[in-house]
Amino acid sequence: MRCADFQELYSDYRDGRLQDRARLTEVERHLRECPRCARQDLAVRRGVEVLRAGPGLEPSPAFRWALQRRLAFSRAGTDPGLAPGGLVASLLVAAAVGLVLIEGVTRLPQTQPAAERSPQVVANPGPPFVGFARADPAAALAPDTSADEDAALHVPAVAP
Amino acid sequence: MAIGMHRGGQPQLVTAQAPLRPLDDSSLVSLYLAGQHKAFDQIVERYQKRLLNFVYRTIGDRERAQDLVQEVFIRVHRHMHRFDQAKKFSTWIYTIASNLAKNELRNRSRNPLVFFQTIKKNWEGDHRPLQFEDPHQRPDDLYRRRHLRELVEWTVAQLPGHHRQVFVLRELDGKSYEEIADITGCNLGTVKSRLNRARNRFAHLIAPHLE
Repeated sequence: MRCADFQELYSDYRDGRLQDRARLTEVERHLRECPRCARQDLAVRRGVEVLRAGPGLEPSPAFRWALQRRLAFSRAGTDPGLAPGGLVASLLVAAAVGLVLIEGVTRLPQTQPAAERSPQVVANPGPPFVGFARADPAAALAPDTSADEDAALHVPAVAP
Repeated sequence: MAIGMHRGGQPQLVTAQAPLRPLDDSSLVSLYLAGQHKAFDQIVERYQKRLLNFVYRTIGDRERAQDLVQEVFIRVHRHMHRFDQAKKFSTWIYTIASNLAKNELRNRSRNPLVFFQTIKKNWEGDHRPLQFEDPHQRPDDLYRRRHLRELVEWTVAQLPGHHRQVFVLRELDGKSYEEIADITGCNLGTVKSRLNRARNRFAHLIAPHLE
């Protein structure tokens, strides 16, 4: 038997599914004669032994409590994970609908055409701001440092 | 009152007061469907550790594994009336767990940050004090044994997800090829091929540490 044949039959051999007696004898002989395949078999057997001998994970003390809580919610037809979020979402939707309604009612008079509005008097309209013209044309091209100067003016005086 | 089956295979008259522990899965399901809620507690007691270890070995995150196992029980509780009692209950519950674990792996592959956090969390969890494990053994033996176990667990974690699941179901949960095929939704040929590849890979990785 070649190693490739052994590899193909290995799982059947390990799981006791190799029904053909002649094949089983061949596999067993190959295991005795081929150190490479014997090493593989030993590694699987020992590795699995170590895994099985381990204590394994235990559920945490809170596991059963949390499960009972979720089951109680499940029996009641609500999911504890989703219920608070659903409540918040419902409240937000209700608030949004309320705002839309209030806004609709208060803005109702403004929906009339603009032509029908009465003229409004604006009290004390200020003159438009025109700015200050620079006397020196070269200075107009230079970077504006007035802001820095203004800031410098506001630096508090240091006591001597 | 109902006729239940002892786990040894003998029929047994079941009343509300009778202990539930000796009953087989099928009897517990019948009792639960008949309104005895304690039967569900017994199902949880019977499967919680097995499922936790199966899901943990599949996804590699203890806390998430606990969440998913809780979800398994919630789904079983919710859909028990749909369970075909002609089939094996353990296969059904493992199928639910397997599907949830597969979904978790799929979601995680789309979010590398979650994967990184899982590795970090598990790495931190490995630093347990040695003296709590077995006070009757020498510390160096304990260390060697734990180190070997961690190596073997690490080796299992190196297997590709679909190979790992088949390997764990066969080697640790003792499922038959047919059950594994039902649980994973694969045909027998695929199960056999994946198991063979998983064993070869496992042996290749662990052999240098066992010599």
